[in-house]
Amino acid sequence: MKFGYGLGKLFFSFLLLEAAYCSFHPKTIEIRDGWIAETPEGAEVTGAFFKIKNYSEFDDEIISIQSSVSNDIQLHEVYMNRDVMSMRRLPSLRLNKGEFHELEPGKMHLMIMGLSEPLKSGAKIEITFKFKVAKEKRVEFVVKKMEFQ
Amino acid sequence: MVKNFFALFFLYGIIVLNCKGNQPVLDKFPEIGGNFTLEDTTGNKFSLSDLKGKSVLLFFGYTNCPDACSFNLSRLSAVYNKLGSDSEKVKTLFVTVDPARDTKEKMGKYLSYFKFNPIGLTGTGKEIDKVADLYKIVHIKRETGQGKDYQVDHSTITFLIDANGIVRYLIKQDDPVNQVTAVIRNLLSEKL
Repeated sequence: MKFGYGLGKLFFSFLLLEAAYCSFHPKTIEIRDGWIAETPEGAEVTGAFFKIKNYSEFDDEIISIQSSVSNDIQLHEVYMNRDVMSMRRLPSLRLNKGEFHELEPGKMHLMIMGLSEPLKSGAKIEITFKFKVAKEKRVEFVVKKMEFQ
Repeated sequence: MVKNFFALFFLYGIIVLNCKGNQPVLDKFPEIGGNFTLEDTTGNKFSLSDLKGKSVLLFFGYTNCPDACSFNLSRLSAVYNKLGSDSEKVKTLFVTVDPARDTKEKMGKYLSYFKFNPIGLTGTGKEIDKVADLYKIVHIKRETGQGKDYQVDHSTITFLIDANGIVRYLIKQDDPVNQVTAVIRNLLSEKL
């Protein structure tokens, strides 16, 4: 009887541990620290930046990105050839199991095109990411100034 | 294309020679620069020589550039803040490499966002090419494959020009704010 009670406790502890683990590392794709560069009046495009990690057990990829502020959001890779900046559109972003990417100025960004009005600091913009395997994700991005110290 | 390659190679060589350790050193670049005249965003003719007596930051970009240009303008905002009252002795010129889309009105609105009041300059494609050649600037229009949309690959160097219109330093895209501020202060401290 005692043995059965002990096993129950052990099983319950295991469930608790599993729940705690999952709450810190959900087995899905995590997108965090998303922000969009504030735009001057007249600007039709801006960049959005974020960190993304695939915690799931499957290789995956971003296949589409949508938002109410634009009909056209593209993934871009930026590269420098000596001092010349070039941008290349990426058709998708591969996210192998455990893979992490940081989209930051000068490296990669989401190019949000066709803005009809300026995006001001403090505004919150929802961006929807669709993946090949994982469920779609809606993520809130904060608009802020590109600032330097 | 060959011309672009040589311009790029030449500019890069000069940038490498321009860095002695981490200390920004003022120099002279007789092969780069010169006076030019374009139109400002109010439609008036504007020449580099109009700024004789002031230090000038000159760079080439376009308003549809979501990364390098807004990055550089934001960095320069921080530099102007650090310069304090000396900032009045420095003017920034932004020459568009996309004159077809960067109308005077659009550039004017875009640049008015930045408190240090950069002056936007434009012209015909040929006029822009002429200025770009003077400063060994590469700019290549690249179709994105989506209708008529395109981007412009372009040099990201910002030229620091002295009160006599002579290029004295080539600021790189990844030079930090403190380094850019320091080299401008060096120039401002020179006796005319």
